[in-house]
Amino acid sequence: MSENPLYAEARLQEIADLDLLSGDIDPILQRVAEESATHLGLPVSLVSVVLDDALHVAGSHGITGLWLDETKGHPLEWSFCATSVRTRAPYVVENAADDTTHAANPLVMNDGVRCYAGVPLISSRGFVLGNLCVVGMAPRSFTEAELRYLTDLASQAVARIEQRRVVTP
Amino acid sequence: MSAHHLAEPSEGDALAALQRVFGAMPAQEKWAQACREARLVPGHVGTTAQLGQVAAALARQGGATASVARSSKYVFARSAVMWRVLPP
Repeated sequence: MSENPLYAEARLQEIADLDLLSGDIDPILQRVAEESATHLGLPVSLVSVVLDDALHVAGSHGITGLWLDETKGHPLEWSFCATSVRTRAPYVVENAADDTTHAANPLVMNDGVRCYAGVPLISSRGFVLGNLCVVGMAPRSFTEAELRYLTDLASQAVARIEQRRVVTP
Repeated sequence: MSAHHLAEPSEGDALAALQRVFGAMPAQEKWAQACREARLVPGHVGTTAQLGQVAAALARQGGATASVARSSKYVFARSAVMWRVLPP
């Protein structure tokens, strides 16, 4: 078995216990996404759940009419959000078109994603579930204050997510 | 685009994903159980539709297995999504 936290059975069990894969749209997670995008002046925000091989969208703002709104997920190899599962820290890409890791990503090449800032959603049991992230279509830097704002909102998202726990300790 | 692995997923890919999380023997057991439930034979799950049927059976096992199964669903959908995003 892999030592990579992406593939940790306990983390994937935590995601299941928190009922994060149900198809229902949680209005509070939607609101967190909307507030994030609005505050930072960016078109898209996601509350993402990072699985072993894919990203699942648990809350979103700004993707109506895009293919991601229909699929509610995409393979992890296209994801910016997986990095925080490994690092447990915020992750910023100021210009994905110039970023060696992401320049060939279809989300960059075909959907026009340029800037990204994501902060990890960490459960009370210490597992990184996914990210609260904002995405823009033009290069952009992010201030420490903006990352702190996202981190505070991520805490609200986690508090909401913890209410979904279907298995008690 | 080859860096983004656009090849159709295979039974081997799906089983490897389970093994990465659960280890070899538990993964084989979960896969065999899901194949039985989907009325398919392990080692002979050939099409994306059949993989989807096994993934649905895996999802019904619950817990971390369901998380891996959901992940598979998005990976199986990858080619279809990509060809809409990127017309050939």
